[in-house]
Amino acid sequence: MNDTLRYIMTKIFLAIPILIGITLLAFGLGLIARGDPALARLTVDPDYIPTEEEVQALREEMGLTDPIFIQYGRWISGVVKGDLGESYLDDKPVLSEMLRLLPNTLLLSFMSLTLIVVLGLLGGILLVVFQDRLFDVIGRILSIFIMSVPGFCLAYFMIWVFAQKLKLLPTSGTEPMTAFIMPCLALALSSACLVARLLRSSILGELVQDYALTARAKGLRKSQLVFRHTLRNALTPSVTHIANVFGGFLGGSMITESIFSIPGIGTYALTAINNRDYTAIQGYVLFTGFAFVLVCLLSDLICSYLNPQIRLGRRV
Amino acid sequence: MDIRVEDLYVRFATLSGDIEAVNHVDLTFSQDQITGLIGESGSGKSVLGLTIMGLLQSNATVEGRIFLGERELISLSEKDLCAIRGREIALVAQNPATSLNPSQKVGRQIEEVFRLAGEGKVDSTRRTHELLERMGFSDSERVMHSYPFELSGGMCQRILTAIAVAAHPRWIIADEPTKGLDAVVRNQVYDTFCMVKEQYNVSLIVITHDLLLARKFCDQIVVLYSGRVLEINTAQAIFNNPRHPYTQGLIASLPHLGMRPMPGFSAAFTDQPSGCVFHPRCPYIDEDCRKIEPKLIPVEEGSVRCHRYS
Ligand SMILES: Nc1ncnc2c1ncn2[C@@H]1O[C@H](COP(=O)(O)OP(=O)(O)O)[C@@H](O)[C@H]1O
Ligand code: SF4
Ligand SMILES: [Mg+2]
Repeated sequence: MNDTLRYIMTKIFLAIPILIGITLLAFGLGLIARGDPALARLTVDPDYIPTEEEVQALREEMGLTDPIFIQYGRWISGVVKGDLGESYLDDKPVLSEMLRLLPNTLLLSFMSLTLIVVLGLLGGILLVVFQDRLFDVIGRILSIFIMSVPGFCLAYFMIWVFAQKLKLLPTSGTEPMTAFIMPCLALALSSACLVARLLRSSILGELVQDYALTARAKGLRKSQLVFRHTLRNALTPSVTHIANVFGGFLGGSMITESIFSIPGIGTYALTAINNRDYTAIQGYVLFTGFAFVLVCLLSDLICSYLNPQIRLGRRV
Repeated sequence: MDIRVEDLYVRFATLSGDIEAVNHVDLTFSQDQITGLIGESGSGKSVLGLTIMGLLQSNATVEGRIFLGERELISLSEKDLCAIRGREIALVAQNPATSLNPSQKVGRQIEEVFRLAGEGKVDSTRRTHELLERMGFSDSERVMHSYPFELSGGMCQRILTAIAVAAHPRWIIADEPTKGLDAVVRNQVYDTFCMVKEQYNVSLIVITHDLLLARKFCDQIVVLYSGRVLEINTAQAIFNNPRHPYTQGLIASLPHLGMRPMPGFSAAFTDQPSGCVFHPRCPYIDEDCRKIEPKLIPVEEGSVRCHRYS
């Protein structure tokens, strides 16, 4: 237990420098992009040409001449208090704007995560149980096919079938809840197929390990062997992959959100990029970076739970 | 209940060609005798053991017949084999360090055998404790809650043995039980197997290239080479009066007999010599040996596959 706790603390501790790195990155981005705010403020009236002294005075007043790390400290203390600055575009606070859009992205992300986990794990296990039988062969061909179709093609195809022809689902928006079905499929289907194939091959790799022989020699049937012994050991690559994908989802999926007109973090970032709205981009980088690191941390902890050798260390 | 192997032939399809890992083997493992399978590594010992249990990988083709009493095992369905594995024939796999599930506590891995035999949770745990104590673990509680990588090689070996005996099988096939262990632990393993044989009334097939263990522990010895049986005899006769030139070479390579290593290597499975498989290394080779494959010839109480005895 002690070892486990120490492992978790170490992992959390190691995440801290990465998080600090992300804040530096975001701050640096703002620094490069903002130009000279003092000059910008003094030239709001195009007819007025400020003198060099005036500009310099305002720079000092705004703290722009302070050493970089003091400026960083000022910025980060604002960030900690929830002040990510205002958008250049419409002067709305970046944080509250992102928080307003976040629920849609979160909903889409978690629905997609669920789909990937359920379909990927179930598919992987079934492919192994029916190895080299019809289900396995068809499943593998179908999954390759789905994986090779780009998400946006799948999206347009589904819109054509389910919305335009069958009129079962709304083409866009967030109301009613069924509107999320197609975006979720477009986002997650190919990842789910990939996870199923990944899991299949890692389970097959575990089935030829020495310990699987001992388990079979006890008289376990193949399905029992898979569920009781090999599945757990085979999960690590799939968990890591799912975490990477999910971390990406949390940053919003620009393409899917745009196609289905879902106002989320992804479309927010897209607008920000198109308008060179650097404060918004800065907030976005900060948010996605943190989300990604935390999801990866969580996946490390899950893997260490699955594989006690990681958390207890080898002590032979 | 004897295990009778008739004209057994096992072939693996591999990228570099077919491997005939077991080549027309006829053998009887008598239930009252401990049989030792000896031979260099790669001679097909493990494959023979796994074939008896129906545990070969899918790239194997098996021909011939294996009888457990009246039942023929090769033609059995996977479902029927599952009922035989563990309960009638159990395995102590080679490589104890990797033969236990690394992410499951060893207690659960032993309990699983009792659970498969239909016992409840509480009973299984109790019997696991008893079993571990019988296997010489004084702190069975701690051992049960350990992961395999927290135990030594010798301990893992005893856990594997515990798993094998748990369901009181008629037969145990032990694959290289002393490999990679130091002298003290090898003796422990020997003691454990003596205890198992007495208390569980189980018949044993011991696969080993530890000749000293074979001499101490086995009644009958089978010498395998390139998937063929070269000599069968009582342990005493094999060690005191080895007949086959290969057996003679093996015995001469023992440390206390001068440790003279045998020249040469066994031929690759994909490129087997004609006639007698041993002829490229044999000091007594003559014309027939290159052309005609010798048969297994009965000589006194044993049998030997060599032209010199025909
Ligand atoms: N699944 C397999 N596929 C291909 N070759 C195999 C397989 N299992 C065993 N062999 C080959 O069969 C031969 C005999 O192996 P084995 O019985 O493990 O030898 P040993 O006598 O050391 O136990 C070896 O050459 C080995 O490479
Ligand atoms: S048959 Fe010939 S080559 Fe083979 S072991 Fe006997 S003497 Fe040697
Ligand atoms: Mg072997």
